[in-house]
Amino acid sequence: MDFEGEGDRTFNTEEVRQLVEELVNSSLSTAVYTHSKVTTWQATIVENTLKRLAALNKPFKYVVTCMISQNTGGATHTAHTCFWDAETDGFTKYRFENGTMVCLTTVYGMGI
Amino acid sequence: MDFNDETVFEKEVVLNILKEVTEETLHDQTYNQGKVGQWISDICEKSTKKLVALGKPFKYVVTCVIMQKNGAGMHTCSSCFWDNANDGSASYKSPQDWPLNVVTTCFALAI
Repeated sequence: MDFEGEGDRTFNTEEVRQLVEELVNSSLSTAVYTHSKVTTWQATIVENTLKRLAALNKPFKYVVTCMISQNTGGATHTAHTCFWDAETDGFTKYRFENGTMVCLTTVYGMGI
Repeated sequence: MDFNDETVFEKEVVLNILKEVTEETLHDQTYNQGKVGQWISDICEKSTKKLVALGKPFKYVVTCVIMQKNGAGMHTCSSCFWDNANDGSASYKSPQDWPLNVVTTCFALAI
């Protein structure tokens, strides 16, 4: 596979974060938590994010995760650890919240 | 660093590691705001150490979510752009009868 911009081997956190923010907001900005719709929203967000990331044509493998939970005031804690190449790899996250739900989307990019 | 020749993701082995570490850290614990931060770091770090000790040529990402049980719905999903032949993921979800909801996931990408 040929990659354009092959000199750009470091994960660009800001570029990816903006891409994710745009996609999440377009799916969820006016949405109310609805159990039957959540899986569709998640599939849309995750698939569109991957499509846009692949279109950046950079030498990376990507993992995109999306967590949507009802906003009832209960506590949720998340954490991650990564064993990778600190010079090329990275991650970005975008947290969306409205009165009824919280959506946390993360993208991990690992240089090939 | 010495690597074994195996570059194929072994889901069962990884799932077992996630299950062991999560159960060891959280079995019989009820939600405790003061301790959650420590539990969640412990699960991630211990899992990563055990995975690295397998000696395989993989990069790992381990994520953990702990939720209080208060009736709220939670959905997680992930999608990956990688090499299907060698890369993989495993996810461990805590049993229904636990007082907390925990999901520990590992993504492994071949170098």
